[in-house]
Amino acid sequence: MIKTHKLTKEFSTTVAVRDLDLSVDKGEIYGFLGPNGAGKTTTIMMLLGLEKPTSGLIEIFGKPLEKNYFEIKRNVGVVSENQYFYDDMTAWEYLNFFGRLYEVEEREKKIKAFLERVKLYHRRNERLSGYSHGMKQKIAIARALIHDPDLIILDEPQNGLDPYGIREVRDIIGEENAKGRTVLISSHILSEIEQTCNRVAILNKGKLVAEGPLDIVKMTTQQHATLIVEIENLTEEIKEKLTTQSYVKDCVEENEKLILSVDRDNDYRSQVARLISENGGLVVGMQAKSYSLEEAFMKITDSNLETIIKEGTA
Amino acid sequence: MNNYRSVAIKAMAGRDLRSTLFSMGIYIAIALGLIVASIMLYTYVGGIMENGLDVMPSSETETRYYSERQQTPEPMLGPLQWAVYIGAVYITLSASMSISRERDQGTMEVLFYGPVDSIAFVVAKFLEQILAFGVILLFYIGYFLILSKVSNFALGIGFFKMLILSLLLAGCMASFGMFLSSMTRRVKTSVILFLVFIIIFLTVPVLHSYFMVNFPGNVKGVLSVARQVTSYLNFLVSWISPFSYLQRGTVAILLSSNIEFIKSLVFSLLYTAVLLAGSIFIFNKKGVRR
Amino acid sequence: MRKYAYLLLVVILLSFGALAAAPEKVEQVVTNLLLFDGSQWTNTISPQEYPTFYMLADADNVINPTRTMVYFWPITQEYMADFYDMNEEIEGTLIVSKGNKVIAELEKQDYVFSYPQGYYGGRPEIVCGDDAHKSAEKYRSEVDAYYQRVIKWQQAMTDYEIALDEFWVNPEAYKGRESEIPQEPKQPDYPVYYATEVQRGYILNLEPGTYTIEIDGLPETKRTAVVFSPRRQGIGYDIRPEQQWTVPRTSNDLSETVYISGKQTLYITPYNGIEVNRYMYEKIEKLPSEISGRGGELLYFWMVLDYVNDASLEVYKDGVLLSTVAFKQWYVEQTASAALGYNIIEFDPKVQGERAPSFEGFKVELDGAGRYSFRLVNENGEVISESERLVRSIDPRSRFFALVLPLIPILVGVLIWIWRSSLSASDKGTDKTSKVTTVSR
Repeated sequence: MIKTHKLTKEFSTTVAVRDLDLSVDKGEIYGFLGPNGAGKTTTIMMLLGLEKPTSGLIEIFGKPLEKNYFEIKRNVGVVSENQYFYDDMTAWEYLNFFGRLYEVEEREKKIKAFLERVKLYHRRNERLSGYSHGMKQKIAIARALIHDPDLIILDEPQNGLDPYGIREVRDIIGEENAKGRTVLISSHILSEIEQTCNRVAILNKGKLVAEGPLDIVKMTTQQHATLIVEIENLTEEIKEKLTTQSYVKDCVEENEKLILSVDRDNDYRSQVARLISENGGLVVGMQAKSYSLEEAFMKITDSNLETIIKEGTA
Repeated sequence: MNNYRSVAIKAMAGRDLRSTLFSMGIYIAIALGLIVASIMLYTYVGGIMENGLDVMPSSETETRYYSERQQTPEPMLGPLQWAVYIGAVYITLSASMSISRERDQGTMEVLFYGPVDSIAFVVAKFLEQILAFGVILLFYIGYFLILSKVSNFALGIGFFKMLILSLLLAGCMASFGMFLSSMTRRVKTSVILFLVFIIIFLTVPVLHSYFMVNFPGNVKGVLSVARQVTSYLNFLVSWISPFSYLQRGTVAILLSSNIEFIKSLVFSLLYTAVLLAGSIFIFNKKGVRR
Repeated sequence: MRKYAYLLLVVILLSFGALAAAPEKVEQVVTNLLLFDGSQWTNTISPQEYPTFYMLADADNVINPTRTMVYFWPITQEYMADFYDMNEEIEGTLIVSKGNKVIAELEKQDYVFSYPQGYYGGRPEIVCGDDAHKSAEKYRSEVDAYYQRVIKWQQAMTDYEIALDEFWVNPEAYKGRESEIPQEPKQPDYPVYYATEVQRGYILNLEPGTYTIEIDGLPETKRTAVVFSPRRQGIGYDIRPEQQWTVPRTSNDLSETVYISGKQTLYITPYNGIEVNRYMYEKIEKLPSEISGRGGELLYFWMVLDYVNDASLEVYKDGVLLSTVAFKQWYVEQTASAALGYNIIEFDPKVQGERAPSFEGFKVELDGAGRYSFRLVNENGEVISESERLVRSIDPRSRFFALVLPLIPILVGVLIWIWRSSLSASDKGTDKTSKVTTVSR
């Protein structure tokens, strides 16, 4: 659906995006992450043709953007980070205008349906100048979807919304994806990405540092696995024995539990259990710790970044 | 033209026209134009009532005995010309804000998320200005038809030629305004630029006339340089000022010269095309984002 | 302040110096031009600085290359020739070329300007060759005859004065023989016919176009002649409203409309006119001037040739012939009791005596209710082309509409504004999150 090859954007003093290779498949919800200034918005603007790449290729729907500009753009819906509206228009007039722009068939019927879906039909004849931020965001989403696009690009769609609004947006994204539409979503609300996306890409300083299915990204960001072991009859001997094992990197006692940091080259859970029972302990429970996307994100974009790049995991 | 592009142009021009018609500015401009026209017609009628007689030629005519007398052209032509000037100035002001306002407000970015490119955007803005001027002209035509019927003043061929010419003038004015607008990112800057150019366009010919009338012969020194400089500037203004294109056409109408009239139409179209192309070029350089 | 005063003084002194400087005279060959302007011949020169001159087509124009002293006169911004200082006419064959083709080789001819209706009475004519001599001779013989009549008249006056003296000695003696009372002899009239002295020059009569003229072998006599025709010719009118007879309005063009207000009496004087280019025409009258013709390259104007007094005027109302009016002379009689302070009456030499008519023309009375037109017909009843004019009577009530109509767009704007304002959203929504960038047009 979206493919970029060695996409680069240089400004006079900085490189905003460097050699970016992205691949978004049809029907997936793709999360686009990165700290501020990572180059996410620049990438989206290049995908939309609003910024001209310094070098590299963009293909959307399998076609180069420059040669199929109108065809592609008529099939893409965009909700941007910033809300820019013609405030002298009513909600109905605004959607009607974009309906005309995209040549939407059965325009009035669709506008009515969308306004009802975002619960603003009763205020359709009011000017947008009086709308709250949340209401405007709903109108922006309606605008992006009015022409039934195959690709939806959302840049910080939950920006400034209250929890209720965030949930509504999440539901709409889910519904649209269920209809087979591809969604590229850029957001700094990582919990939302985690709940919504199938795959993610993490961008830092213009470079793609991680990309793939959510679980794998989360996993690949960790050098060691963490085992939390609940033990009856925990003794110092058990702790010493565990610490001397080559695959154990760290061992900390916390609330009668041992937190072990072990190598990720193997599943050491049975070895750990055996060693504990041989030394008089009884394993009551053992679980591998699950990392959140936020932790993965922080790890990737923070201290471990250089290591990860060096190791070629990115 | 690309069909998708023409759809985009139609949609954007339509939206902008609605926006213009829903604001007071255009109605104030129309009213101002009609007030000036009314003052002139009121004066004509008063003059005829006072003198008992007036002759309204369709072209500039003089006799040997009245060589210095500038007669009034056909009665509706002068008022229409002034009304058109006022309407055209409004269009220039509106056009000079058209691109920069959308860029300034960010709405341009939203448009470009969709099937809109620089050509579609600039042409739509231009088309909207022409349509807005068309609305202004409709008011003017209604006004002059009513007054012609009521007063018994004739509407001559010059009147209708002026209507055609004024549409092309609107093209020149709109493209000029848009050229200014494409160069700026802020509405305020556009308006300042518009005012600066209007002042230049109005003062240079006045200065030129001053030097030519008061120092027509062999002057030397500073006066000679000043006369030469204003002469060059005036030549430049005569080609870059949209007003001068209406002036050319008006002179052609007054002279009843069809060749000059057609020439003025062709020059106006060329001027418009060049400035629109320039606007698109600069627009692409400046980009879409705020 | 004082500094500026000194500066001003210096500028003024320098100005005097400039004015006092005598113009420098330069010897050169000019072309002396006697050019026809549509009604008479006017004299100008073509110096080296102005090698292109303009003349009307299909009319006799006289040119004479002459060596003389030329100077620039700064006050009137023109070149002038001092023929008193030097006036050497150049002889030879004048070659007239169009492009590279020689179309005529001219020799000097004798010519005079003759005035059959008197010097002040009508249009002059140019008479060339032998006829020029005959014209000049005719004028001379008429003058000679006039002087013979004057001599006779003077003798008759002497006789009359003697007889009168005798009469006054005993007037009573003439009772019953009144016919013998001496009568004063009538002073002879000066001849009407006038012709100038016979002169010599090249007579140029060309079709429209651009020509080169040069006396064979004398390149300094080379000049360019731009020959042009009037753009149009037709009937023009001086139209006087009764209430302002001293300020006639002119109408030269068929497309012009005459506007009147209410009931009007008009006095209409027709004339033959030509429409010519202002620049070229002014250059006919004064070629070597920096000012003449300036800005008139694209302008045309009508020039009166002569007044038409041998036609009648048909006046129509709403397409129906209202009256056919005869050309008459009119006299303005000052009368304190009249509403206008004067009355315009038909001129009658018996009543007005030696006074001249105030003006001539057709008297047309219009009741101000309808559309009128008028046109000239000649003695044979044929309509003279380009002579028709429309007359429209304007309605003063239109001034009220002129005041009211501009308010309509404002009214429309206000109604739209009220409607759009009523669409403003109030904060009724459930979503009260912070406002962000909003824009309005």
